[in-house]
Amino acid sequence: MEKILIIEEEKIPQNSVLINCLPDVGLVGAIASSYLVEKLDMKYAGYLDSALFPPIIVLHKERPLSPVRIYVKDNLTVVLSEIALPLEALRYLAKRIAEWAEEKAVKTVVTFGGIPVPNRIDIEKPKVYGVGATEEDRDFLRKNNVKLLKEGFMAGYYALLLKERMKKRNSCIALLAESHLQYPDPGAAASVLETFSKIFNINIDLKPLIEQEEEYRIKLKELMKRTIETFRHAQKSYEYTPPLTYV
Amino acid sequence: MSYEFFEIIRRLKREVDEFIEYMERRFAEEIMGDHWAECIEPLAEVRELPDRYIITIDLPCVRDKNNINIKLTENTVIVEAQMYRKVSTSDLLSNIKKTEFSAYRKVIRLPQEIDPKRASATFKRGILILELPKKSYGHEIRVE
Repeated sequence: MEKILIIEEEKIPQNSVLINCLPDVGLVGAIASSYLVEKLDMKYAGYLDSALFPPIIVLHKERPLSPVRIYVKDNLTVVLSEIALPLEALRYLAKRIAEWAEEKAVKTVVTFGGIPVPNRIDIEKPKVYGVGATEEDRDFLRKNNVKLLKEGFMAGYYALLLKERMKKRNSCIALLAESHLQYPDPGAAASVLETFSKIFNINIDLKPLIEQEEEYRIKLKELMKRTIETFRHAQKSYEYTPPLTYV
Repeated sequence: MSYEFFEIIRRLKREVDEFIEYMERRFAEEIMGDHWAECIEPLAEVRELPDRYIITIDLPCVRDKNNINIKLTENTVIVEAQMYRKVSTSDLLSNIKKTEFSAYRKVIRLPQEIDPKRASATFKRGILILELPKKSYGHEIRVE
Protein backbone atom coordinates (compact mmCIF):
# COMPACT_ATOMS: atom_id res chain seq x y z
CA MET A 1 0.00 0.00 0.00
CA GLU A 2 1.17 3.50 -0.85
CA LYS A 3 2.38 5.46 2.16
CA ILE A 4 1.06 8.72 0.69
CA LEU A 5 -2.17 8.86 -1.29
CA ILE A 6 -2.91 11.67 -3.72
CA ILE A 7 -6.63 12.01 -4.37
CA GLU A 8 -7.37 14.14 -7.42
CA GLU A 9 -10.88 15.58 -7.42
CA GLU A 10 -10.32 17.83 -10.44
CA LYS A 11 -8.14 17.56 -13.52
CA ILE A 12 -4.53 18.45 -12.74
CA PRO A 13 -2.88 20.30 -15.64
CA GLN A 14 0.11 18.72 -17.40
CA ASN A 15 3.34 20.71 -17.82
CA SER A 16 2.47 23.04 -14.98
CA VAL A 17 4.68 24.76 -12.42
CA LEU A 18 4.15 22.92 -9.14
CA ILE A 19 4.55 24.85 -5.90
CA ASN A 20 4.90 22.66 -2.83
CA CYS A 21 5.15 24.26 0.62
CA LEU A 22 4.98 23.05 4.22
CA PRO A 23 5.19 24.94 7.52
CA ASP A 24 8.88 25.60 8.11
CA VAL A 25 11.23 28.42 9.16
CA GLY A 26 9.16 31.57 9.86
CA LEU A 27 6.23 29.80 8.14
CA VAL A 28 7.44 31.57 4.99
CA GLY A 29 6.29 28.83 2.58
CA ALA A 30 3.00 28.24 4.36
CA ILE A 31 2.11 31.96 4.31
CA ALA A 32 3.29 32.51 0.72
CA SER A 33 1.51 29.46 -0.75
CA SER A 34 -1.81 30.04 1.01
CA TYR A 35 -1.70 33.73 0.05
CA LEU A 36 -1.04 32.75 -3.57
CA VAL A 37 -4.02 30.36 -3.58
CA GLU A 38 -6.28 33.06 -2.17
CA LYS A 39 -5.11 35.97 -4.33
CA LEU A 40 -5.10 34.01 -7.60
CA ASP A 41 -8.46 32.48 -6.67
CA MET A 42 -7.12 28.99 -7.32
CA LYS A 43 -9.50 26.05 -7.48
CA TYR A 44 -9.49 23.21 -4.94
CA ALA A 45 -8.46 20.10 -6.88
CA GLY A 46 -7.81 17.35 -4.35
CA TYR A 47 -5.91 16.31 -1.29
CA LEU A 48 -3.22 14.09 0.14
CA ASP A 49 -3.70 11.48 2.83
CA SER A 50 -1.50 9.14 4.79
CA ALA A 51 -1.52 7.02 7.93
CA LEU A 52 1.64 8.97 8.77
CA PHE A 53 -0.21 12.31 8.89
CA PRO A 54 -1.59 13.51 12.24
CA PRO A 55 -5.29 12.61 12.74
CA ILE A 56 -6.50 16.09 11.84
CA ILE A 57 -9.05 17.61 9.50
CA VAL A 58 -9.56 21.30 9.00
CA LEU A 59 -12.88 23.10 8.61
CA HIS A 60 -13.22 25.85 6.02
CA LYS A 61 -16.60 27.49 5.44
CA GLU A 62 -18.23 24.55 7.29
CA ARG A 63 -16.58 22.03 4.96
CA PRO A 64 -14.19 19.43 6.44
CA LEU A 65 -11.00 19.22 4.42
CA SER A 66 -7.66 17.49 4.56
CA PRO A 67 -4.97 19.88 5.82
CA VAL A 68 -2.76 18.86 2.87
CA ARG A 69 -4.47 19.98 -0.31
CA ILE A 70 -4.03 20.60 -4.03
CA TYR A 71 -5.10 23.78 -5.83
CA VAL A 72 -4.92 24.54 -9.54
CA LYS A 73 -5.28 27.45 -11.92
CA ASP A 74 -4.11 27.60 -15.54
CA ASN A 75 -0.56 26.26 -15.55
CA LEU A 76 -0.01 26.52 -11.84
CA THR A 77 -0.52 23.77 -9.26
CA VAL A 78 -0.07 24.31 -5.53
CA VAL A 79 0.28 21.55 -2.92
CA LEU A 80 0.20 23.06 0.56
CA SER A 81 -0.07 21.88 4.12
CA GLU A 82 -1.78 23.77 6.90
CA ILE A 83 -0.16 21.64 9.58
CA ALA A 84 3.37 20.69 10.51
CA LEU A 85 3.98 17.09 9.42
CA PRO A 86 6.04 14.53 11.34
CA LEU A 87 9.52 13.68 10.09
CA GLU A 88 8.61 10.08 9.19
CA ALA A 89 5.95 11.39 6.78
CA LEU A 90 8.30 13.86 5.08
CA ARG A 91 10.55 11.28 3.41
CA TYR A 92 7.59 9.48 1.81
CA LEU A 93 5.89 12.76 0.94
CA ALA A 94 8.94 14.12 -0.90
CA LYS A 95 9.27 10.85 -2.83
CA ARG A 96 5.57 10.73 -3.72
CA ILE A 97 5.42 14.40 -4.75
CA ALA A 98 8.49 13.87 -6.97
CA GLU A 99 6.84 10.81 -8.61
CA TRP A 100 3.53 12.64 -9.03
CA ALA A 101 5.32 15.63 -10.56
CA GLU A 102 6.84 13.26 -13.13
CA GLU A 103 3.43 11.69 -13.87
CA LYS A 104 2.06 15.16 -14.51
CA ALA A 105 5.12 16.17 -16.57
CA VAL A 106 5.61 19.15 -14.26
CA LYS A 107 7.99 21.73 -15.75
CA THR A 108 9.51 22.66 -12.45
CA VAL A 109 8.82 22.17 -8.75
CA VAL A 110 9.12 25.38 -6.73
CA THR A 111 9.35 25.63 -2.97
CA PHE A 112 9.22 28.77 -0.83
CA GLY A 113 11.12 28.94 2.43
CA GLY A 114 13.08 31.02 4.88
CA ILE A 115 16.74 31.33 5.78
CA PRO A 116 16.92 32.22 9.46
CA VAL A 117 19.08 35.30 10.02
CA PRO A 118 19.83 36.60 13.53
CA ASN A 119 19.54 40.27 12.51
CA ARG A 120 16.15 39.90 10.78
CA ILE A 121 14.75 42.61 13.05
CA ASP A 122 17.07 45.16 11.38
CA ILE A 123 16.18 44.12 7.83
CA GLU A 124 13.52 46.24 6.14
CA LYS A 125 13.15 44.07 3.05
CA PRO A 126 14.46 40.49 3.22
CA LYS A 127 16.73 39.35 0.40
CA VAL A 128 15.76 36.23 -1.55
CA TYR A 129 18.23 33.52 -2.50
CA GLY A 130 17.76 30.61 -4.85
CA VAL A 131 18.78 26.96 -4.96
CA GLY A 132 18.44 25.06 -8.23
CA ALA A 133 18.54 21.28 -8.57
CA THR A 134 19.90 21.30 -12.14
CA GLU A 135 22.39 23.48 -13.99
CA GLU A 136 19.47 24.78 -16.11
CA ASP A 137 17.65 25.82 -12.91
CA ARG A 138 20.72 27.67 -11.66
CA ASP A 139 21.14 29.40 -15.04
CA PHE A 140 17.47 30.35 -14.99
CA LEU A 141 17.89 31.88 -11.50
CA ARG A 142 21.08 33.74 -12.49
CA LYS A 143 19.41 35.17 -15.61
CA ASN A 144 16.60 36.44 -13.42
CA ASN A 145 19.05 38.08 -11.00
CA VAL A 146 18.29 35.72 -8.12
CA LYS A 147 21.40 35.29 -6.02
CA LEU A 148 22.29 31.63 -5.59
CA LEU A 149 23.11 30.16 -2.19
CA LYS A 150 26.75 29.18 -2.55
CA GLU A 151 27.66 27.16 0.56
CA GLY A 152 25.82 25.74 3.54
CA PHE A 153 23.32 23.08 4.53
CA MET A 154 19.61 22.83 3.84
CA ALA A 155 17.59 20.64 6.21
CA GLY A 156 14.03 19.42 6.38
CA TYR A 157 11.37 18.79 3.76
CA TYR A 158 12.73 21.12 1.09
CA ALA A 159 16.09 19.35 1.23
CA LEU A 160 14.35 16.00 0.74
CA LEU A 161 12.31 17.27 -2.19
CA LEU A 162 15.36 18.78 -3.90
CA LYS A 163 17.17 15.47 -3.43
CA GLU A 164 14.30 13.48 -4.95
CA ARG A 165 14.13 15.76 -7.98
CA MET A 166 17.93 15.77 -8.35
CA LYS A 167 17.99 11.94 -8.51
CA LYS A 168 16.24 12.04 -11.89
CA ARG A 169 17.78 15.35 -12.95
CA ASN A 170 14.39 17.02 -12.84
CA SER A 171 13.94 20.73 -12.33
CA CYS A 172 13.42 22.01 -8.78
CA ILE A 173 13.88 25.52 -7.46
CA ALA A 174 13.87 26.68 -3.84
CA LEU A 175 13.31 30.39 -3.23
CA LEU A 176 14.46 31.28 0.27
CA ALA A 177 14.05 34.66 1.97
CA GLU A 178 15.93 35.98 4.99
CA SER A 179 13.52 35.41 7.84
CA HIS A 180 12.84 34.95 11.53
CA LEU A 181 13.34 31.37 12.66
CA GLN A 182 10.67 31.08 15.33
CA TYR A 183 8.22 33.86 14.49
CA PRO A 184 5.78 33.91 11.55
CA ASP A 185 7.35 36.17 8.94
CA PRO A 186 4.85 37.59 6.41
CA GLY A 187 7.51 40.12 5.26
CA ALA A 188 9.77 37.26 4.16
CA ALA A 189 6.79 35.57 2.46
CA ALA A 190 6.12 38.82 0.55
CA SER A 191 9.76 38.93 -0.63
CA VAL A 192 9.61 35.33 -1.84
CA LEU A 193 6.36 35.96 -3.71
CA GLU A 194 7.74 39.13 -5.27
CA THR A 195 10.69 37.17 -6.67
CA PHE A 196 8.42 34.33 -7.80
CA SER A 197 6.04 36.74 -9.57
CA LYS A 198 8.96 38.39 -11.41
CA ILE A 199 10.67 35.23 -12.62
CA PHE A 200 7.50 33.34 -13.54
CA ASN A 201 5.61 36.37 -14.83
CA ILE A 202 2.62 35.94 -12.56
CA ASN A 203 1.00 39.08 -11.22
CA ILE A 204 0.31 38.96 -7.46
CA ASP A 205 -0.97 41.89 -5.41
CA LEU A 206 1.29 41.82 -2.34
CA LYS A 207 -0.04 44.98 -0.68
CA PRO A 208 -2.60 43.23 1.57
CA LEU A 209 0.02 40.76 2.78
CA ILE A 210 2.32 43.57 3.88
CA GLU A 211 -0.52 45.65 5.35
CA GLN A 212 -1.95 42.74 7.35
CA GLU A 213 1.40 41.54 8.61
CA GLU A 214 0.42 41.81 12.29
CA GLU A 215 -2.82 39.85 11.77
CA TYR A 216 -0.87 37.03 10.14
CA ARG A 217 1.59 36.98 13.04
CA ILE A 218 -1.21 36.66 15.59
CA LYS A 219 -3.20 34.09 13.62
CA LEU A 220 -0.23 31.86 12.95
CA LYS A 221 1.16 31.88 16.48
CA GLU A 222 -0.09 28.38 17.30
CA LEU A 223 1.02 26.86 14.00
CA MET A 224 4.47 28.39 14.53
CA LYS A 225 4.66 26.83 17.98
CA ARG A 226 3.88 23.39 16.60
CA THR A 227 6.27 23.81 13.70
CA ILE A 228 9.13 24.73 16.07
CA GLU A 229 8.63 21.36 17.80
CA THR A 230 9.41 19.60 14.51
CA PHE A 231 12.63 21.56 13.88
CA ARG A 232 14.74 19.48 16.24
CA HIS A 233 13.81 16.22 14.53
CA ALA A 234 14.35 17.73 11.09
CA GLN A 235 17.97 18.66 12.01
CA LYS A 236 17.23 22.33 11.28
CA SER A 237 20.21 23.38 13.40
CA TYR A 238 22.43 22.13 10.55
CA GLU A 239 21.46 25.25 8.64
CA TYR A 240 23.70 27.23 10.98
CA THR A 241 26.66 24.90 10.40
CA PRO A 242 29.38 25.61 7.84
CA PRO A 243 29.94 22.59 5.58
CA LEU A 244 33.07 20.49 5.86
CA THR A 245 34.65 22.02 2.75
CA TYR A 246 35.11 25.28 4.67
CA VAL A 247 37.63 23.66 7.01
CA MET B 1 9.80 23.38 71.64
CA SER B 2 6.16 24.37 70.93
CA TYR B 3 7.37 27.39 68.89
CA GLU B 4 9.45 25.10 66.68
CA PHE B 5 6.56 22.68 66.28
CA PHE B 6 4.18 25.44 65.13
CA GLU B 7 6.86 26.89 62.86
CA ILE B 8 7.15 23.50 61.13
CA ILE B 9 3.35 23.30 60.79
CA ARG B 10 3.23 26.84 59.37
CA ARG B 11 5.97 26.01 56.88
CA LEU B 12 4.19 22.82 55.84
CA LYS B 13 0.91 24.70 55.41
CA ARG B 14 2.67 27.34 53.27
CA GLU B 15 4.22 24.65 51.08
CA VAL B 16 0.89 22.83 50.68
CA ASP B 17 -0.84 26.13 49.79
CA GLU B 18 1.84 26.90 47.23
CA PHE B 19 1.52 23.43 45.76
CA ILE B 20 -2.29 23.71 45.51
CA GLU B 21 -1.96 27.13 43.87
CA TYR B 22 0.59 25.70 41.42
CA MET B 23 -1.70 22.74 40.58
CA GLU B 24 -4.68 25.05 40.06
CA ARG B 25 -2.63 27.23 37.75
CA ARG B 26 -1.40 24.17 35.79
CA PHE B 27 -4.95 22.85 35.52
CA ALA B 28 -6.24 26.19 34.25
CA GLU B 29 -3.41 26.36 31.72
CA GLU B 30 -4.19 22.83 30.53
CA ILE B 31 -7.83 23.69 29.97
CA MET B 32 -7.44 27.22 28.69
CA GLY B 33 -4.08 27.01 26.99
CA ASP B 34 -2.96 30.53 26.25
CA HIS B 35 -6.43 31.95 26.78
CA TRP B 36 -5.94 32.57 30.43
CA ALA B 37 -6.80 35.71 32.37
CA GLU B 38 -7.83 37.57 29.17
CA CYS B 39 -4.27 37.54 27.94
CA ILE B 40 -2.65 35.58 25.18
CA GLU B 41 0.80 34.18 25.52
CA PRO B 42 3.16 35.55 22.87
CA LEU B 43 5.85 33.55 21.09
CA ALA B 44 9.20 33.95 22.81
CA GLU B 45 12.75 32.75 22.33
CA VAL B 46 15.36 32.50 25.10
CA ARG B 47 19.00 32.38 24.09
CA GLU B 48 21.61 31.67 26.72
CA LEU B 49 25.07 33.13 26.29
CA PRO B 50 27.91 32.56 28.78
CA ASP B 51 27.38 35.96 30.45
CA ARG B 52 23.73 36.79 29.71
CA TYR B 53 20.33 35.75 28.44
CA ILE B 54 18.83 37.31 25.34
CA ILE B 55 15.07 37.00 25.20
CA THR B 56 13.00 38.05 22.21
CA ILE B 57 9.21 38.21 22.37
CA ASP B 58 6.93 38.64 19.35
CA LEU B 59 4.30 41.30 20.14
CA PRO B 60 2.24 42.01 17.02
CA CYS B 61 -0.40 44.73 17.45
CA VAL B 62 1.61 46.43 20.18
CA ARG B 63 2.44 49.85 18.78
CA ASP B 64 4.32 51.67 21.50
CA LYS B 65 7.02 50.83 24.01
CA ASN B 66 4.95 52.64 26.64
CA ASN B 67 2.37 49.85 26.36
CA ILE B 68 4.89 47.28 27.55
CA ASN B 69 5.44 46.50 31.20
CA ILE B 70 8.45 44.40 32.21
CA LYS B 71 8.97 43.05 35.72
CA LEU B 72 12.21 41.34 36.61
CA THR B 73 13.31 39.39 39.61
CA GLU B 74 16.55 37.49 39.86
CA ASN B 75 15.12 34.43 38.12
CA THR B 76 11.81 35.51 36.59
CA VAL B 77 10.79 37.75 33.72
CA ILE B 78 7.18 38.89 33.45
CA VAL B 79 6.18 40.81 30.34
CA GLU B 80 2.74 42.32 29.89
CA ALA B 81 1.83 44.34 26.82
CA GLN B 82 -1.30 46.08 25.65
CA MET B 83 -2.44 45.70 22.04
CA TYR B 84 -3.85 48.67 20.13
CA ARG B 85 -6.92 46.60 19.21
CA LYS B 86 -8.81 43.61 20.51
CA VAL B 87 -8.09 40.17 19.11
CA SER B 88 -10.84 37.58 18.99
CA THR B 89 -10.44 33.82 19.37
CA SER B 90 -11.92 33.59 15.88
CA ASP B 91 -8.81 35.48 14.68
CA LEU B 92 -6.81 32.68 16.23
CA LEU B 93 -8.92 30.11 14.33
CA SER B 94 -9.82 28.45 17.59
CA ASN B 95 -13.04 26.49 18.04
CA ILE B 96 -13.44 27.43 21.69
CA LYS B 97 -16.04 29.91 22.94
CA LYS B 98 -15.54 33.34 21.39
CA THR B 99 -13.49 35.55 23.67
CA GLU B 100 -11.58 38.75 23.05
CA PHE B 101 -8.09 39.65 24.17
CA SER B 102 -6.25 42.91 24.16
CA ALA B 103 -3.08 42.03 26.04
CA TYR B 104 -0.15 39.69 26.12
CA ARG B 105 1.37 38.09 29.18
CA LYS B 106 4.48 35.99 29.29
CA VAL B 107 6.26 34.59 32.32
CA ILE B 108 9.71 33.15 31.81
CA ARG B 109 11.66 31.42 34.57
CA LEU B 110 15.39 31.49 34.12
CA PRO B 111 17.66 28.65 35.21
CA GLN B 112 20.39 31.03 36.44
CA GLU B 113 20.06 34.26 38.43
CA ILE B 114 20.30 37.58 36.59
CA ASP B 115 21.18 41.09 37.70
CA PRO B 116 17.93 43.05 37.06
CA LYS B 117 19.71 46.40 37.56
CA ARG B 118 21.94 45.84 34.54
CA ALA B 119 19.14 44.58 32.27
CA SER B 120 18.09 46.45 29.15
CA ALA B 121 15.17 46.30 26.73
CA THR B 122 14.50 47.48 23.17
CA PHE B 123 11.36 47.31 21.05
CA LYS B 124 11.55 47.23 17.27
CA ARG B 125 9.10 46.13 14.53
CA GLY B 126 6.80 44.56 17.13
CA ILE B 127 9.56 42.48 18.73
CA LEU B 128 10.79 43.06 22.26
CA ILE B 129 14.43 42.24 22.96
CA LEU B 130 15.62 41.83 26.55
CA GLU B 131 19.29 41.58 27.48
CA LEU B 132 19.67 40.15 30.94
CA PRO B 133 23.22 39.91 32.33
CA LYS B 134 23.80 36.95 34.61
CA LYS B 135 24.52 37.70 38.25
CA SER B 136 27.71 35.73 38.43
CA TYR B 137 29.68 34.85 35.40
CA GLY B 138 32.29 32.65 37.06
CA HIS B 139 35.78 33.67 38.08
CA GLU B 140 38.55 34.10 35.59
CA ILE B 141 41.77 32.21 36.28
CA ARG B 142 45.14 32.63 34.63
CA VAL B 143 46.70 29.78 32.72
CA GLU B 144 50.09 29.08 34.30
